[in-house]
Amino acid sequence: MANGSGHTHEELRQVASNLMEQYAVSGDADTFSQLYDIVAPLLWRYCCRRLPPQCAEDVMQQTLLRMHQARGTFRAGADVYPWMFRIAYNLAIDCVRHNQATWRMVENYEPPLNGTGLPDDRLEAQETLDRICAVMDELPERQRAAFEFVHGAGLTHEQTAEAMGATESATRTLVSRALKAIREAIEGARE
Amino acid sequence: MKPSTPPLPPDLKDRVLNTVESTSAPTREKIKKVHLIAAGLAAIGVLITFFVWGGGPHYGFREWGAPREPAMIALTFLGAAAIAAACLYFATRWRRSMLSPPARALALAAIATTCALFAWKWGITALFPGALEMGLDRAGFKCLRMGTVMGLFPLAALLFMRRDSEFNHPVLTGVLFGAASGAVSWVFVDLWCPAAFARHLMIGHVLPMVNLAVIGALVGWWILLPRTKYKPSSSPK
Repeated sequence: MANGSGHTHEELRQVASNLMEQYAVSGDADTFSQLYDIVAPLLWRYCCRRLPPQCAEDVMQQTLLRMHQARGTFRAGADVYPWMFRIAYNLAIDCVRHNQATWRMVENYEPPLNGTGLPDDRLEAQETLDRICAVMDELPERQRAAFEFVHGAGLTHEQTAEAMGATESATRTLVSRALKAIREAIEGARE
Repeated sequence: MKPSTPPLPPDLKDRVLNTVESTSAPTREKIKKVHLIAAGLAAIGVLITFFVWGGGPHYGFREWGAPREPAMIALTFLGAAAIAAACLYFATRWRRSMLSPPARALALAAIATTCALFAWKWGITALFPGALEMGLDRAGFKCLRMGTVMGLFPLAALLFMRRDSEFNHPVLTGVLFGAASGAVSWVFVDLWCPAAFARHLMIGHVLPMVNLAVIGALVGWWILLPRTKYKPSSSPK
């Protein structure tokens, strides 16, 4: 997977982890600025899919602040992504509780359009999306978290397992169950 | 589905960098110094308890007959020290990760350490004729008290070092820290205590580990779990 800068996701992950490592040692503001440039788009996308924009901005800002505050404890050779997304995830949960909002991970998606884009197609797509939203809301918390780490944040199953403190096989099971529930919701909508 | 993520606010980077600049945070070197001081204080606490309360290592009580053989003391001590070191390593430095291993691994490590220490002490002592019959009248309450108190120092140090950073399993991490601290105190109690029959080991040597694991679980939930909560920004967007 390559992004706009031509680097693969894996290369960027490695660079981000090295920058965090440097920042833990030196505390240099420029290093943090470089780290921001790499992680901010990923973190922003993850936060925006979970939360309304105003909350997403707060959560993102506070995630980066926590990373800064805990820089001295960052372990040499550790992967920064699972840790960062775990912080964001916890803050997002707090944010939702604080705002008494409901989970709407996919509300920031545009409904898929099949066929001609006629009003009927749009209505059908919207119904499907609503159904998916309802399924996401009803998923057990761990399933939803695992699904979002993999499909929202772009973490691998191994990184997701690390972020959730679970085994890789347990994580795969959680993600596949979430996918199955969503697939059934889509098929149900088509019938 | 096409994601429609809004663009990253252009002023967000400046706001983040300004906040970061105005918030002090220790670098790794400073954290290392603090951790070294905490570990040093814990070691001093253990040694003072061991030498002042326990009176240091000894071969056996006069009224119990023949003293322990130095080879047996050395074997049980070195084996217990290796097990304690392995448990401490697993609890603190095993993974190159900022997050704890799976719950099952934490629980297994705590149980395996306790079982390994018991089996080693009992098994090695059984190799020496008559050694398991030493001090049969001793229930092990002094070992229980000494082991629990001695283990509190490393437990406090471990909890302090990892405070406010355990997202996944704060209770089980606390349990493992308790077991690791109990393993450290086991090593010293082992140098002091000549009795090794099963009932005494259970009360005097295993029970302190259980006590420390329970304390670790309770305090761990309180101290290890990050308490920094989401704060809504006051500025309108």
